[in-house]
Amino acid sequence: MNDGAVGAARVAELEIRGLVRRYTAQSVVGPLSFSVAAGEFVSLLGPSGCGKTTTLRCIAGFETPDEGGIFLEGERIDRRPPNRRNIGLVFQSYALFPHLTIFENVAFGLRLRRLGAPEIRRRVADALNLVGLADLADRYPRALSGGQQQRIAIARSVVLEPRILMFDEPLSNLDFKLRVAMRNELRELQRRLGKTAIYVTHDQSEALALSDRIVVMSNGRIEQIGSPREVYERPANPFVADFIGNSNLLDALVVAVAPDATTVRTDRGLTLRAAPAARNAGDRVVVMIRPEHVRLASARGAPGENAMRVRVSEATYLGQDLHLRVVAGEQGLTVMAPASTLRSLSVGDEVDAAVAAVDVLLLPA
Amino acid sequence: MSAPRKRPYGAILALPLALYLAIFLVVPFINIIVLSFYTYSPTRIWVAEPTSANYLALVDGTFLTVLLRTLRLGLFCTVICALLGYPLAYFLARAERRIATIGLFLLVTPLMVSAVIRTFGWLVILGRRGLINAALAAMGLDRLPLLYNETAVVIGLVNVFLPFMVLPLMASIERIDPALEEAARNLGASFLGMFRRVILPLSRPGLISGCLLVTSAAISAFVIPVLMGGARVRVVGRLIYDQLLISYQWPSASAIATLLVIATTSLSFMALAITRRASRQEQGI
Repeated sequence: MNDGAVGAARVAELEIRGLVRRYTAQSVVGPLSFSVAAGEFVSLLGPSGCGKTTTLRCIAGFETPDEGGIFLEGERIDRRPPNRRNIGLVFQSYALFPHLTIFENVAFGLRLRRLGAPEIRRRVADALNLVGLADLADRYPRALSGGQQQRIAIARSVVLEPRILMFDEPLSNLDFKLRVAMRNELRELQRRLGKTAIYVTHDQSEALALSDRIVVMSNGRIEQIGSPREVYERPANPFVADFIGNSNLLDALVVAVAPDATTVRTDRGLTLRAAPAARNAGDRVVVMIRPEHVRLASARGAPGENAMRVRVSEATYLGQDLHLRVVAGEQGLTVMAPASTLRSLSVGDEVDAAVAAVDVLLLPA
Repeated sequence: MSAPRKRPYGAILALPLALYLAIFLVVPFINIIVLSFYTYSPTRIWVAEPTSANYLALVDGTFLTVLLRTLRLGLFCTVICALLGYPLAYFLARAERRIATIGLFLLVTPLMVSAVIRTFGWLVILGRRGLINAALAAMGLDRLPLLYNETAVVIGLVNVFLPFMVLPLMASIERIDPALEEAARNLGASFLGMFRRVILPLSRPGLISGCLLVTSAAISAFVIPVLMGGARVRVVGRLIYDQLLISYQWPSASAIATLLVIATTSLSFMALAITRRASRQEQGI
């Protein structure tokens, strides 16, 4: 997986510059700017209504931006009709043509390009082999399962060798196991083809698993752009921290600044040492602690930094993990701990806990 | 679970209309069929002697000429309705609710205006001194004969029967997922290419039932051909009228009427069957 710095250093294949799309005075997407490097896998991640689908539709040409430009290899494309962009799109509903066989579905774009019959046959066969469904060529879409339809939709786009391959929530209609399997398959396929890909999703685990970089969006704006590791470990603000993974987000005040650490006190009275940060005493901040970073003292373990005594107020057994709500003084915290390493805990138990200072992040309030 | 139990109630609710139709439609129609097999009598109009002469007599020149003309008018009317109706149906199917409602209202207004008033309107537009010819004359061009010929009849028929084409087409197009259109565009189809390869094949059931409805309505039309076509454009409906009220050839008129009803009802049943089959196929049954 590439991190953001490497991605940005590569040639920009697609560039979005100051894109604005206005629906009503209240409902505006943008201005958005980001670029996608050749061969890069970029996800647009956000809750519904955040503008990710609008962005995708502007790139595909189904909507026209009110301001800004979209550039494909330096060429402006935002006024071109959708059929002259050479950007493949895999639809959420797959959008296979129900009146055509699988072969004709995949051949659809090739026929429009007036290729000869032998070449069409060869390329359709290659594309169907790529997604492992060569034996279904004569069937109609309604005879196929969701996962198979999904693959045909991908084959139908890939066969045209588009500049960029875009996916609009492609896995959201599949059940969980299939979703994970298809996710891996998609990633593998994208790597094999070396295609630049843009992937729209509201599912953070898909975005984390697939992407080189993630563009986190909300309310028509970009909240953060970064590698999966960056957006998870260094979220730019409380929205990103809350949307990607689970977080304890605690309103707090910076009480002391030292070269080796910053000390904060949450509004509920918990004092915590955080890693050094460019903050001043008296600043309002939001403290972020991932639930898995709160370590509970097991039989052998001694607590470390930010040691505190907590009382279990809720415990949910999730098989692999134990999901706990604990209270440290007045301050409630969510804790995720591996169930296997922990002696059985029940509501009302008191236990020692600790959080490493590097895991206490200070976000802008 | 409750579906089978609903049926008896449905039957009871349909009873008043069923009775009405039985008394005022089915009985007279049976009467017409019977009459079509009776023998013509110059003195008593008909006598109850069975004969097939009324049907056999139709194989002469006059009836076939009229029949061919009627079918030709029906065909032209249907083709023009399809050509005008497709873009309109597509527009209405994809328009937002409010605009579609206004459009539908405008579309069916011709059906709400009395035939006489509507035809008078056409006289004002198409007549020798009508709007079009006045405009042509003002430009120094020759006047066109737009009234009392087959062109006039086709114009009049299209005006009234266009909704019969647009409504089933629109219903068909509304059921096509807009994502299919976008997929086609994304794969490289121009708008027209998309229309031809996606909308056209997927709305074919609507087109077929629209064509059958318009054809059956157009070939049984009476008022429009009479008022706008004049004496020269005799159609089957006019022929029945003449036989009945001018020549008093009731058995012959009944025979023609029977054939016309058989033709139009079978077209309507075909339209219904195609629509049903299409919606069943959609549900994957």
